[in-house]
Amino acid sequence: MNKQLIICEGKDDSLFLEVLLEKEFPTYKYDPFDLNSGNLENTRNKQSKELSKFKISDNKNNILIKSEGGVDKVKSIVTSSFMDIILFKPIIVLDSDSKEPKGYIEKEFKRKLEKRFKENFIFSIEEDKGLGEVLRYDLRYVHKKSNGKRIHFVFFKPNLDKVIGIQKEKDLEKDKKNKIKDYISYGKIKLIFSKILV
Amino acid sequence: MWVKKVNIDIFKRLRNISISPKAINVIIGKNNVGKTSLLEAIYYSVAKETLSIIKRNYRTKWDMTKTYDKVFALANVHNEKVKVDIGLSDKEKKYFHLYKLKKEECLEEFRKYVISCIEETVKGKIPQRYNILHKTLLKKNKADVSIKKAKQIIKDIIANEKIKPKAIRIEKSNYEKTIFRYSEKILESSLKSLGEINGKILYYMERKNNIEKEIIGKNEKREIFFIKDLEKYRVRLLYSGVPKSRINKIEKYLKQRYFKNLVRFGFDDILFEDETGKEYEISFSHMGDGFQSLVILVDILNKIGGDEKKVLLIEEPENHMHPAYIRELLKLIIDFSKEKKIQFFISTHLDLLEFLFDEELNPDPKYQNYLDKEMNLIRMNELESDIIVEEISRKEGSEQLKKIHMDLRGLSS
Repeated sequence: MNKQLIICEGKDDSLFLEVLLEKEFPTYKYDPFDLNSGNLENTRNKQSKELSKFKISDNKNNILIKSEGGVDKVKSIVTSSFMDIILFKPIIVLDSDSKEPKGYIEKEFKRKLEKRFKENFIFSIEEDKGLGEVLRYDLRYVHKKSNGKRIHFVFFKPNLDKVIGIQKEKDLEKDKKNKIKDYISYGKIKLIFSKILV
Repeated sequence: MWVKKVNIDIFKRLRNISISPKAINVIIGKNNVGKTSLLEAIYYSVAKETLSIIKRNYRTKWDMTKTYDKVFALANVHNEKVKVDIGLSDKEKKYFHLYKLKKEECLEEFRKYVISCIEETVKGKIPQRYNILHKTLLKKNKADVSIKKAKQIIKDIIANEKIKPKAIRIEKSNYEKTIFRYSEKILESSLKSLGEINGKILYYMERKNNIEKEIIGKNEKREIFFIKDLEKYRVRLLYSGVPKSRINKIEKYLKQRYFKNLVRFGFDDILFEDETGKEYEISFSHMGDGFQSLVILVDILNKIGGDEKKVLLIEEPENHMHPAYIRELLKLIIDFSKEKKIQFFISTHLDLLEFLFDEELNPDPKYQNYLDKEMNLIRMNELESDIIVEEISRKEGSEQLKKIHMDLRGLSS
């Protein structure tokens, strides 16, 4: 069974992805994993253990939604654990904020990976049409004579809360879910994810 | 000499690998990703005594029952040096190493070496062998043959396939005959494959099973040392004995660093003094394996460290060690790197790795600062049967451990 990893910044992103999968992709089963939840003591290699468990498990859940707790940690896991995460055909969900996504991928991911892996991979960025407020890019990596594989990036412009209309401080989880469902019902976001879920 | 740059085009499973080593280089990765191969490639590309190692190996290691007729791989370790990997089968390989500019020169060097080995025997190391050869030559020429003439005939034998059966008959049971018999096959098979390397420098090299025996040898000029199995080295050392001067150095180090109450160190007994001044002995062999390994490493480092920069390649030195000794091992490595100019390439699995990144386990700032500056983590991974190498600074490694809680060795499954 194909196992896929979706890496996102925070809890709202994770909630969005859970609602999206339940509503639009009910055949996909997922596990959420919040790195910062639970006891933070004795967390040595916590994330590796979780990914290893997910990789070998033969349950029906084929997607792991990983909430990292900030964009810095997303950047960190993609670049420093590249060899681990590419085993899971990863999708990275980020807020673009004030950044131009293509330049951001170039600076924060592509160049760092190129420096780290030297001639082992050739990286390139590919742009999808997107939907206006949701943009998709792929970071393509080619190893030797292979055809190349991709890390998918989905950017919310400027951020997921604004696109969906979530009021971070005021909305309860129930409100957030309703707003997410409303947004999903327009159907556009399904198009993007239907192309990148395996 | 310290290794500043390693470029490997092809060596065993390693392909297109480039690393920029620092003072302490720690190699991690799962089993069979090439950690040992990386150490071997570095060692073989710099070791100067490879030819003499070959010579010794011919005496002891060469399997006379098999034909050395298959060339497996070519490697370009430096810009212009090429290695040829000659093997018996996919399972058993041998590497030969010669230093010459062109393939013809290289092969000629090998040919000369073969001849010199035979001549050495003829000249009297084993006189009866000389007699056999001599008689055979006499038979062939129907006259007395001088040594000079014998040399020429031996050369002719090697050069001429038709005379070869006689050459084989001449030697029955010693090592030279094997070289003699198979040298042509090695040369032939090498020549067939040389087109692939466009006449670059050929390096023949033989891989040794007990390479540490050779490298921790008497030659003080060696610049690079390779310890594959500290335990084996320990056993051998205990059997062969250690000179007093080296024991004194170990004693001094142990007194300074670990045992203030140590009176006398020896590989038989260790003499301590209790609080009342009463002396008591403990047999070295009764000390734990971890302690014994640490002492052996002190001996090795004392032996190779000095005013000139040296390189030590070592596999899993922390084996058998209790965590307290691993901490000491790390301090030992840092001390000798810093003060005795030893560059380390260490392959490890887990235990040592923890100590390298945990500031609480080694709080002394002088160690922390040195590791921040001089440690290079080399992580090896497998992707689609290729080996991918990453270099990670201590800062990046710490971040990966503490911020995103990922195991530096990669996923466990």
